[in-house]
Amino acid sequence: MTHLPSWLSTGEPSPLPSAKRRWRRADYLAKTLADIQKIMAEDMLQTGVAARPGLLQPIEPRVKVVGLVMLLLAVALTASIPALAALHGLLILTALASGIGPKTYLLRVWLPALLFAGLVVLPAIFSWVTPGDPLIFVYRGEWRLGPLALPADLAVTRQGLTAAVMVLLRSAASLGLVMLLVKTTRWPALTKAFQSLGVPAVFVLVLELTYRYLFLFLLLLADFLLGRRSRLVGGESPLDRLEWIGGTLAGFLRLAGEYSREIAAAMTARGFGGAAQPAPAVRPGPGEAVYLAAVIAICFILLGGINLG
Amino acid sequence: MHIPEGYLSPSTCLTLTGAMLPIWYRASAAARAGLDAARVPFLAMGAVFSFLIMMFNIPIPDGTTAHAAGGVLIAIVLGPWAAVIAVSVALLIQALLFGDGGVLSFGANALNLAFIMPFTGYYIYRLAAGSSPAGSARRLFAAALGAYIGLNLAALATAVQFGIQPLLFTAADGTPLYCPYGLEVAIPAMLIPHLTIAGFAEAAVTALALKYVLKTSPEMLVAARPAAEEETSC
Repeated sequence: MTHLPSWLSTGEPSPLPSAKRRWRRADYLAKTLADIQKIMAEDMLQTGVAARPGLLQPIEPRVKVVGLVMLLLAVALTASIPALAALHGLLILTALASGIGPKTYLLRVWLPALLFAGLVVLPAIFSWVTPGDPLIFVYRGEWRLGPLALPADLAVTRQGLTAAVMVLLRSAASLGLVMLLVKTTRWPALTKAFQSLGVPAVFVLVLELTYRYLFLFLLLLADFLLGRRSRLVGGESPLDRLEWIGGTLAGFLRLAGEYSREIAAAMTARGFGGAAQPAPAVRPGPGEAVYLAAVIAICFILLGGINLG
Repeated sequence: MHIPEGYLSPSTCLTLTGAMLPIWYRASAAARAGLDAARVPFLAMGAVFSFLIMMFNIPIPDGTTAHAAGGVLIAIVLGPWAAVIAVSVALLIQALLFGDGGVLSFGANALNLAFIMPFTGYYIYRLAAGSSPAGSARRLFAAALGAYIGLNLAALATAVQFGIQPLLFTAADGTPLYCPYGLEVAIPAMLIPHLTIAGFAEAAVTALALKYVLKTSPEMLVAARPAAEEETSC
């Protein structure tokens, strides 16, 4: 009988060495890559929706921007929860009629609203933050944790709950309104609308160029991150990670500088002299009139013209 | 630190946007003074770079990640007025395209991140760096100090904007109409994470990025800056 080495004669596989870490390692590379992919997907969705036929797509962008600002102000000023809830129903219907599916709408409006606005305002429902009329008691009487004495009662208050629901509904409604404008309007048409509404030409030019080159740089950054991730075998020390990020940012700053010079040369070669092209004049039609009338009616309802509760 | 819609009253938003108007006017006047074919792409690439910095997930000691703001780094390299436009444009794109920060609260976000942070950070950097040589430890420490203080002042300004809402806008029955947290909650809630974690991450990234810029392309700090901003160069 041949002598087997001890590790081969055991039935159980040897455990792989495991790294002992004091802190859980955050995969910042994977997170940044996922964020970039999300942005790319968002842009593709926007391009697709803006090109489709739909309810909001044919509306002139300037009129849409004016309507959006009016609605945002009305949403910010209203204190009526039923009116805000009704507006959400209307926004979902408008999104569906404009080629934005319910899943897309929920993922882009309600998920971030619940995650960011909802979680942040959650503590405000309790009496410790917002005193008021108690609705539900979490505990009553004094509660002691060793030497610490907690306040006598902890309750969910009507005022706190109202405030939290209002902030959440306002935040989600604003997200929905902005999403409807941006997803149903091509970006160049939107920036030209800003210009014709009085935004300085230099901002509009910078905005247009930024958007154009942003995605190129995001693709380059994604390649860079993927390259780093593929080459990482062992762990990195916290200082190594920060050094790498610092070096990468410096590299991208240099790249941005080089692109800036090349773009300037290309613009000069094509006859750019520093002046922005004015937005083409478009006469608003009946569709725009109907849109503005609907916006004014919604603002009227939101601001208490018609009492929904 | 991006303030979403619904937390600030419209009057607060309009006041803060009004405060930003002369700053944007001065920044775009600085841009118009040299508005040639080179100036627009320069500012646009600054905005792209600002967006990229904010994209980065910076690992922090609690095992999670934070996002850098980058305003002070951009101000040091491109100049504070260019940073106003670059960061403002990045914030506007984030608000419009990705719902990160509100549209009505864009003026408030711009005041905090595109003005308070780059300007305070930049002048602290200049003061602390003095005439120290490029790449010296003192200059890098000055950049880190500027980034740390700039970020925390921006966080303090955000906290004050949140905290004054219940003082100014509360219904007769005591229901807060906008941000429900007063100054006593908003200031510690904003400042504790920024003073202890995010500020140090921002400081480290700013100093390390500046170290590499000075090492590999030091000309960027001077050559990339057009004449309109030479008056404020380091």
